[in-house]
Amino acid sequence: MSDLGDAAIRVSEGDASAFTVIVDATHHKLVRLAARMLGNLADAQDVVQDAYVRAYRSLTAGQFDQRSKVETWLYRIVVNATIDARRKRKRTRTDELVEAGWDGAATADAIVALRELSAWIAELPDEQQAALVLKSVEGLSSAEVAAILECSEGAVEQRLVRARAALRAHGGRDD
Amino acid sequence: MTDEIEKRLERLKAATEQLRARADFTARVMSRVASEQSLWFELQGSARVLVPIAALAAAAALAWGVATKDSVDTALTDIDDDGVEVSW
Repeated sequence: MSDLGDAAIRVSEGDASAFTVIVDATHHKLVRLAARMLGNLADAQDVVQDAYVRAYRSLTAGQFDQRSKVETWLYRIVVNATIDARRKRKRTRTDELVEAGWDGAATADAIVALRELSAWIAELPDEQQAALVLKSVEGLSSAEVAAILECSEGAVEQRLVRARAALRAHGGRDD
Repeated sequence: MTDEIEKRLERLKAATEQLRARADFTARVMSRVASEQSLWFELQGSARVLVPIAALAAAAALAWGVATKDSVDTALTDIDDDGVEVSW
């Protein structure tokens, strides 16, 4: 079993300190993923922090059945939490999508790129956006994306085709 | 056009590759986890006190119920013994 798998078992047995191993090993990737989907590093850190607390609760409640890898499971929690955060944000502040502050490590170029990416894919349906970011930006395989999104690889490919078609239809409107 | 999309995705991927969470991110998460744990222990502690009290209350209610039933039965038996007839 992987180190993360071992740590997950220890957490489920009541060793809270083992959760540090999981957070240390995964948080940069997960925060970057959420930032790429949300277009904002500060919001991404809040979302991922909440996602970790949710994951901790699930582990201590024995709800992680170890059918998928810990990392895949965490990706799934973060993607769902990010989608929820996007929906909430659409309802509450559509005019200031990416203007909140950030305090992680990011260059000005990265912040500009985050905003560009977020604005470019903002109109895609949630499941297409998630598939596109996970596959084409995070660089995960179709099988990994399918496991995270709990769908078939065919469904992932279909979402990617539709996402690219929608971006093509948008043309250079967001350039 | 697809090439343009892929190129743009590649460029945005490269530009955001170095994004990192704040340095104290893990500490913040673990602090939230610790407060979750203490809340859980508080609830468990409350449960430890409340469960015996609830059990005692349930036992007292049961005893009262049995005693009440007995006295009602006795009263009804006394009524029978006295041969009271009720006419409607």
